[in-house]
Amino acid sequence: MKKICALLLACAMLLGTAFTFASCSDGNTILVQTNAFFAPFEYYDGDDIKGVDVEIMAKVGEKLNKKVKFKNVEFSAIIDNVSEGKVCDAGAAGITITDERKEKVDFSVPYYTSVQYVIFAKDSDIAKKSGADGEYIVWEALKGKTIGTQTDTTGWIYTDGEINATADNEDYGYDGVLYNTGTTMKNFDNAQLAADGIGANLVDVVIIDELPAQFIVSKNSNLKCLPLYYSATEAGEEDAPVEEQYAICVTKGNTELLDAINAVLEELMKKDSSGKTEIEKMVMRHMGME
Amino acid sequence: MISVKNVYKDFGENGEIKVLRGVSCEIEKGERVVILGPSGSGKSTLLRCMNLLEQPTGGEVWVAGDLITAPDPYLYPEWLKQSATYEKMLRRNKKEDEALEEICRNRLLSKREGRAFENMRKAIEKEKRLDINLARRKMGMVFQHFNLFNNLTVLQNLTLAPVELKLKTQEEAEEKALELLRRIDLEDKRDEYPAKLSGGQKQRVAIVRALAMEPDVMLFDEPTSALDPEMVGEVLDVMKSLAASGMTMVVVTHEMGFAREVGTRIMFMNEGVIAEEATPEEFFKNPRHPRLKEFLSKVL
Amino acid sequence: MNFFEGVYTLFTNPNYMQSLFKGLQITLVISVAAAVMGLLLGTVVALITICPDSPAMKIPKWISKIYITVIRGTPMALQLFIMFYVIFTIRDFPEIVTATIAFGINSGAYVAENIRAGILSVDVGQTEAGRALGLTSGITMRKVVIPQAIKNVIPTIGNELIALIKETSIVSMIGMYDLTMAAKIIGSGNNMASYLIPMSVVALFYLAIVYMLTFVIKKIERRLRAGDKR
Repeated sequence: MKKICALLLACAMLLGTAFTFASCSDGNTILVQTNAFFAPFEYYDGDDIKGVDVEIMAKVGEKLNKKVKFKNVEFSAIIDNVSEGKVCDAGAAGITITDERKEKVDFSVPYYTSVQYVIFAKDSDIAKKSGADGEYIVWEALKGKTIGTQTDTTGWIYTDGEINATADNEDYGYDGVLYNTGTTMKNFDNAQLAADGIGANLVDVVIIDELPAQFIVSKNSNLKCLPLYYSATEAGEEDAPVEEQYAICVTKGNTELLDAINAVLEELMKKDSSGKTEIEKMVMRHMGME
Repeated sequence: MISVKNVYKDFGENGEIKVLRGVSCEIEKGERVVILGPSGSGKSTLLRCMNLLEQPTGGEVWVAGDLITAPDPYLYPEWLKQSATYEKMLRRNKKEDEALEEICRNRLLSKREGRAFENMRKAIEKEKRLDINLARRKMGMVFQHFNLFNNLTVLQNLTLAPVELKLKTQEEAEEKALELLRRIDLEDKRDEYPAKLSGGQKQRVAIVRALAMEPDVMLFDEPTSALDPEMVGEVLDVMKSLAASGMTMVVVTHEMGFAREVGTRIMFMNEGVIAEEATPEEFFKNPRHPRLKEFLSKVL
Repeated sequence: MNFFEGVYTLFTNPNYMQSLFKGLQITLVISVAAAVMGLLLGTVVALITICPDSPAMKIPKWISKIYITVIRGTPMALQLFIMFYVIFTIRDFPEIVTATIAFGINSGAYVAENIRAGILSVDVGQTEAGRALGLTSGITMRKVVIPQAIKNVIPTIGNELIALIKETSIVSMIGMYDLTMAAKIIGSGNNMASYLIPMSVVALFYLAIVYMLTFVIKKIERRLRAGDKR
């Protein structure tokens, strides 16, 4: 019996030590969560997470004289974790500003404007059905398809909206383009898994942000991608791309960090003599297109 | 040596299977008591109650002057007289003797006043009870199915208990064990595991394993029942030589020859009570109980 | 790129190999640490559950019962999520510790049941023989019952370890850099941009680990059984 007690005690001590570990983290580190499957903004290079967001946050760390630590988590967990503020201070993962997210976290100024892209098999007929000589794809062209997205990304949010929105639903107030057209959606952990779904006949197309789409297509010769557009609804209007703006989010009320991020971003978004911003150059560099 | 006082044993969830129904007996030093009886008569259960491998439902077992079971208030009239039940009965104009008799016969105490019953138990227990592990050291037990420790060699089977209980050093225990193994002619098997022994060899080792504790009394629970016929003899021979050395023995068996030859007293059990008790001669010559007559006519 | 070219690329790219070995390392660390914890915890819980009923043991028994029921009755993935997102929501907490605890607790419940079954499978006559010699129940357990139970338990515990190693692959769900995550990284858009090859290679890694473990378990089993050839 005594030995059992001792064993239980040992287990308790193990847990205890684990907790002490936790308490020794100081306030001198900025903990940033990301999903490192979103090149060029964040991606694994061997053991290290690299990318545009990582560079931005490194500059923020320099400014505040603090260490910066990135952690890879599921994309869908980032907003909630930042919102709670217990396990991290900020989220930098090419996060699109949306109203729902604004309620939970504070966003920096937007630092990149991205367009949603559609990835599809090269031999697919989808491009022919689209507007403007196959330069882009309109939502209508996706009717009846199975669309793959990465859970909780804007591609997922928009697609979900177009499929499920109805005029009599208060949350939407309009009929989605794909509503009641037999279009279905599948969600994946990351963009690559979704894109692999095309080859595996799990999905017909994948909707994802521009840069990851470019990346994936550049490495898979049987895939193509085109920007996604809203078709004009009234005469005289033009078709418009499905745009979004990336920003870095922090726990609500963390103004010190937010101000530092904004200051760094403003610096990085100044155009130099060649008319390019530092952010744009970072993007090119991380895409290997310098 | 061992005294069994009015022992009851019920099995089953609600005690619906009554195996022992008030058994009392005395085993004196040097006696070799053989317990006979048809199967299901409770003879093994009685033996197992003697060293508390079965906990009696009621009654007491004493070993060498020490109580080893929980005390049984029904055996103590002075305690019963303090109970509310007893007083109530006296108020209803029952005679003292009749009241006590009725309480014991119908086990009224536990049903009506569990609290007082428990307090009595505890009070008696504090005074007299002995740790069962100490009592068992003095009582060797041999099982029908040998129950040698399968994970230990023959020698280790013999030395485990004396060494673990710090009664002997490892060397002393081994010396004693080898002497015992020599006695049963199995010294060459000292490093074998039980799985490699024949049934007869296993049982002989089991007997000397019990002897290694230098017990005052040996309990045998059908020691030859699980053996092939040709192995029965070797085990009985060991038991006979043990008897010759003056060991106190209680033997549950179906071996009538052994009972007649070795026993100093035979008890016949039937339906949970001792139906007849006699010397071997008397027992086989003049059986009185009708059930015993029937039994003997079948087995002899 | 055909499959074998892909495999060749993977094995010749030092970056990819580095990813694989880093992932392998974390998978092994979690597996081994959780297995040790599971064995300790499982043994304690098993001993509690087979203790005879007594007032002092009532609460520990009750806790053990709930522990086993809840852990075996809920998916490992959910337990992992709860560990990470409800219990250990502490700043900068080492995630490998959280994962180890989650898997250790999970494994402990299964090990406890295996050990309990192993102990109960030892003939009751062995205990009776020990007790009849005057040995306490503790000594009888330690010297007679448990050594025999171990023999019965080794194969089932081995199976549990194998299941544990494979199950650790779900830590990639919460972003940990294990073997499965390494495959995801190598397969991601900026690397090979295909999951098929790295996933297949990683499957081979798991297979190799499990095969080696099976081999070791067989060895141990054979050695333990040497005592009772019939």
